[in-house]
Amino acid sequence: MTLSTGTEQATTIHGSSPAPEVARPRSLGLASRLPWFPLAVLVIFVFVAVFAPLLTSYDPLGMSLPERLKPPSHLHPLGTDTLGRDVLARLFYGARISLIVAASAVVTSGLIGLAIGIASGYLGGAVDAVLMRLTDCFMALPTLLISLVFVMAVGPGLTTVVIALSIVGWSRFARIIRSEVLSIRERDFVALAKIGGAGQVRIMVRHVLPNVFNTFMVITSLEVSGCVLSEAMLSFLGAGVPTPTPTWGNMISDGMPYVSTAWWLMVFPGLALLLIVYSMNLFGDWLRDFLDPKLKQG
Amino acid sequence: MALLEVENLSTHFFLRRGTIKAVDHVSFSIEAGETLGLVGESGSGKSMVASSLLRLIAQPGRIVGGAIRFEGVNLLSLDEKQMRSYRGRRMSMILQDPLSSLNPVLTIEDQVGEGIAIHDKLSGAALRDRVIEVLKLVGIPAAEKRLRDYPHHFSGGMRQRVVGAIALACRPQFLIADEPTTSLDVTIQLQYLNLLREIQQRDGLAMLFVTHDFGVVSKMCDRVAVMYAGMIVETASVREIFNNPCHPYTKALIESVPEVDEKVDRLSSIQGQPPSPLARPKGCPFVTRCPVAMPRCAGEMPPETKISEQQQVRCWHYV
Repeated sequence: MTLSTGTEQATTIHGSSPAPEVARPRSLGLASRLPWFPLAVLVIFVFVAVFAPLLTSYDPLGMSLPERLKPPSHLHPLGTDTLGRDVLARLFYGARISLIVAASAVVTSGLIGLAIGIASGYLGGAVDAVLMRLTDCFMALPTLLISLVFVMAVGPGLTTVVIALSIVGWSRFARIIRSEVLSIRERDFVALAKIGGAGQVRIMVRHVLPNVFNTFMVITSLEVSGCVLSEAMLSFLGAGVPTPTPTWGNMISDGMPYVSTAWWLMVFPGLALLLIVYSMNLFGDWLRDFLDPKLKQG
Repeated sequence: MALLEVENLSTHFFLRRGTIKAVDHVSFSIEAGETLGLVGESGSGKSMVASSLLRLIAQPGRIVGGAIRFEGVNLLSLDEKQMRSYRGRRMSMILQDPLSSLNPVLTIEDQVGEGIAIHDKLSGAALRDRVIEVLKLVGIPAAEKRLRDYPHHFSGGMRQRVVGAIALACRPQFLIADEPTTSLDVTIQLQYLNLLREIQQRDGLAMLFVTHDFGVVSKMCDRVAVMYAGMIVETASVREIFNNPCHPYTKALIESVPEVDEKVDRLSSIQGQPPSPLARPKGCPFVTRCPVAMPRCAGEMPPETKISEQQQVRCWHYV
């Protein structure tokens, strides 16, 4: 505008034609910024897991020895395994296990971590010291090792896997949420709530909790992929949900001896795993940026 | 009997480096419907007095002595649960910064209604009606339509009105205003002060007005207490404080207020720095900066001396 002529200035002063604003894509703001690829993958994942029986006519446990180790064909789009079971059907039903384990483990560890993080950060003092040392202890445990030991001790099964993953998972929630609460509890609105006569529980639930929700969602989205991966790892090592229930982990491990002759046994569950974890991480990154108040416009 | 009587209140902070006497033997009283101004420079302990009255001093600070009598009840002898029934209902407070005083993720209705829900156990439509009533009281236009709005939907001045609504929701008898207009621009300041005055006259509200602005003092207050280094060095009516300031610190404060109709080349200011809170002089805390200090001032704390019915001063020159 430094080179604008007199007439141009006159019009702006009279306000008859306001300076053209930089067009802000308000209406399609959210839609254009959504991470379409990871979102699509995740929607398909959930859809497949929920509607697995409707999407394939094969029984994931139905053995057919004459059909064993068949490469992908129009009958079996992803081939069959060593016992003649349809790989696609097993992949679909395996998605269910992944979804159930990841969702329950993240919800359990998330709720525990949220409660401990808020209590620790808000109450401070001795409570904080004890809870945070406890968190340190659990953070120091190697996820895989402790899950393995736990599963071996209690016996494999869906519930055991969920508990095993939650035992370790909550500490990450607790640590991050506590640090967030430390800054929230110093804000004036918490002081104002105290002035108004609110008790500690009320302040934690009504004032602190909603303010850590963004952070909670971001950790959740990143933890889900970790849980899917850990579940697959446990299954791969034979410590997850026991066979014959199909999981991506035990499918990969079952296919390992045949990697040179029947590549489809390992490749498809491996690809599925890669796709889910990658998408989940992309989505988590997007969510973190999206919810970051520093990147938000007034 | 005064509504609020504070006697020898002391609040100390126990740090590893030493003890900070943030509030040191402070005494004052406020009648129903009266406004006491509490003035002093930053760090003089004004806000600590305010927090102490509500017993909201966080670790490592502690109220170490004195009495706070509200309607004759010593608040320092109450347990935490009884104290909570005073906060918000009988005494309340407005904080300085309307931007951070409101919870960004709760609606206005939730925030204004919180105190009413806690103390009067209202819910549903009855709660909503009370919230609307309070919002109207503080002059929020079209209050009914703004209940579901969030703080970021409001301008700074309106937000501070909402903060006022939160503080006044349960109709307290006593309000502490901790520099409520410092972060507002001048015209909005005036509106806000008028509003507080109006509510005060209607409800007979007693106020402790914490400020460092003598313009606000002359507009709002009946009496003034001047704080320096955790102590009240002079208490007087507004008229006396402007016409006959006694303590050298009060004199210096009044002199440093620029006059509108006077042409000044240099603004007058008080020489030197307040003493470090960890190493206060044994005698009068102002001795290090006082233009008329005597040898005696450094050695002994001056007693409170009565100048007139309403004016007391702590200075050896008046003993």
